[in-house]
Amino acid sequence: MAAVRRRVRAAAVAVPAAALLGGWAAGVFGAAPPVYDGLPLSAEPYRYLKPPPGLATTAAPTSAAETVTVTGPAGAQTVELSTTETPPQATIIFSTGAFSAPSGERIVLRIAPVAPPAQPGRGRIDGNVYSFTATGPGPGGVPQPVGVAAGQVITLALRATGTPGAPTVDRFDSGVWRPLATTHVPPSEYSVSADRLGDFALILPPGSSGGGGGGGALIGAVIGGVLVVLAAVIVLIRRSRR
Amino acid sequence: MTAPAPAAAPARRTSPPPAALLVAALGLAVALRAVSTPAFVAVLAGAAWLSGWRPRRPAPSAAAWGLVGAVLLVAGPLTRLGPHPPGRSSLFPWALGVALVVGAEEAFLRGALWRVCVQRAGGAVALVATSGAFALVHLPLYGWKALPLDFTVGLVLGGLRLVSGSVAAPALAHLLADGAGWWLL
Repeated sequence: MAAVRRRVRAAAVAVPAAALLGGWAAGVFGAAPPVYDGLPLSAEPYRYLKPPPGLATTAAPTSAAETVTVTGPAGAQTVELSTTETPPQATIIFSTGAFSAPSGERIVLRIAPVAPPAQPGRGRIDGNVYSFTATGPGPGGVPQPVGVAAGQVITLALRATGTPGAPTVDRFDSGVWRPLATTHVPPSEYSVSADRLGDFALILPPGSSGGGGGGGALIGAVIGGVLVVLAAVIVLIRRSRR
Repeated sequence: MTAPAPAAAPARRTSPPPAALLVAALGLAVALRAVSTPAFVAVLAGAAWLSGWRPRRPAPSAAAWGLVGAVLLVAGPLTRLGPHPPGRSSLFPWALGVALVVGAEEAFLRGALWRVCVQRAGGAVALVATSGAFALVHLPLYGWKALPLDFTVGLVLGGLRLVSGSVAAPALAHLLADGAGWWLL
């Protein structure tokens, strides 16, 4: 009997473990990293450059800039630059060896919220459009854009407003918004690898509802309310049996 | 001689049964999850305590099971590490916050709720019910798409609880897996 119990208990770990590993291998759970607890621990409301109609004015979104020295592949360092909201609304992660500028040159990376250059053909922009730029000292000291070197990529991440839906990170390219292969980093960040800088935004597919976020809070309130009602029903049933 | 009976009856009537208390607390916690992490932690830990659950000294094997569980919980994503999305400002406050969330979730789910389910319906029901509750408390933050993953992770953590006989094993696995998120995310 004890041996049977041991086997049952071992199966209680082995079967879910096999399901977990199998689910990952089969892609059922997606590519998102495992997050079993709330990250970030606190989040301020999304800051709009121009709030959607019907939404209260928010604090102004922040920009970010950092000067780095371009390096060759040897000695390259990874740099992370984010806007200062909690959590950041826009982030760029890059190698100092990823730019098409001479080694040793000082370049400035900038992230800034900008007005949308155009609306997407389908769906709508979730949050702000962010301009990611790199500039170096051009001829005569006049700053000029610096691009990403061939074969190199940089990582960009944008925070969603919380509007229900599955947005993609799109780049404004030749006059249209083009979706990139997007990874959802729970709870609210979406990241891409990009071979060019420019204007990026989260684009929600058509039919996504809301305009100001709070989707998670709404889901929580609804499910929480159902559970509280269930608790009340349990109490009533128990009292009626006495 | 009849005095004790009337005195005892109101006490029974006013204190909610643990099942109702825990379901109500679970509902409140789910409602608060996307709104306030401290309130979420307080509700889960408070309900676990009010239900009468108390932590006990774990068996030595709990640590080993916890380590096994942690490896399982991060094994899949470790094989497909991609670009490193945004980090966070400071490791210590983040780790402290995560530890408090993990402690409250485990005390409530694999502690208090597990105990009530086992007493009333057995270990299999406890395993499924606490896994469902685990998935629900993560729903407000991660959405419906994460539900299958979180339910499966709940089953793994419940399996650790079952095989080790202690909350310490799933708590350690949960804590280490969450902690790995600092580097995985």
